[in-house]
Amino acid sequence: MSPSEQPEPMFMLSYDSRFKSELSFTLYDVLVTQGMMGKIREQKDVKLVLRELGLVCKNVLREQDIVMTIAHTESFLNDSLIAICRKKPAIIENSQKQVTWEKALSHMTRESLFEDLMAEYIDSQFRGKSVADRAVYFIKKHGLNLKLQGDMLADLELAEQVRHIIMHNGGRIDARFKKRTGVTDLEVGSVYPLDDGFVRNVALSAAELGGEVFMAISEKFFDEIPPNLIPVYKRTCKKVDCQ
Amino acid sequence: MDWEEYKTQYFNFLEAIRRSTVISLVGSIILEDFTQNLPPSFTYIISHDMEIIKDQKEEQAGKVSS
Repeated sequence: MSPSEQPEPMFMLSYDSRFKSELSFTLYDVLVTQGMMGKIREQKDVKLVLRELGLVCKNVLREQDIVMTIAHTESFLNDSLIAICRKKPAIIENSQKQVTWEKALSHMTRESLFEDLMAEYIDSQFRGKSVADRAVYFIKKHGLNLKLQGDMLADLELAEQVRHIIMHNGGRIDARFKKRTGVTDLEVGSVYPLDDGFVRNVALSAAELGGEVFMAISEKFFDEIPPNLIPVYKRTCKKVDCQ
Repeated sequence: MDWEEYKTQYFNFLEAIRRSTVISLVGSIILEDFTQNLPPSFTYIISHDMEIIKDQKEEQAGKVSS
């Protein structure tokens, strides 16, 4: 096959004009909402403004990545506890808790009642717990043998706090964020600067934690010893360097 | 839930994490390319916006002078 016949990588394919048009309108909206049109109108430096626009948009992409990564991790840890409960239903047995006749009779089958009680149990165990706390919960409450690397939980804890300000404060730092993370060199009101290194490390930490939980539950509750399915990634840099 | 089902959930989780990262990376590449080679549609929007502002300013200037 000659070089000219080589297929192009997917991301090298030129995107069509409709996509470019939609992207143009979206970026224009970002320019307006970020107050950058003023700078362009003053004709200070269009290229500089566009460079700034590129940075703002990249930060938005990284924010999306962080939000989704934390959401998927929480969801998988939830699924993991469900897997434990379904395998060992006795885990949710609790002589202190009682079910009303009304609730018991509202379920047509025992399975349906069990699902309801299990949802309540999982909520009571995970409510208000961070991803890191949930990992520790698995170790303490269910005796899972998890190898939690130092950076793994630290990355996820910081990412969770970043997720909080993205969802509730437009990605801008507030006093609560500074207090919880110990970040001192960034001002309240400024957008938390995300870089590719940090975002990548968070994804790796999430994948590693998920892998540890999956392997430990497989072995302890399902008597399955799968081949090492934990993805082997190499960190791009240490957490501190990525800030 | 049997183990196969749980294993599927694990692979779905890994795939979701990878997908999220790929979207972010590909988006960055497209943005880089886009802001360095602005298409006519974008420059049209910008210039259209500038024209409107120019008209508004001229209109305001006209009102003040009259």
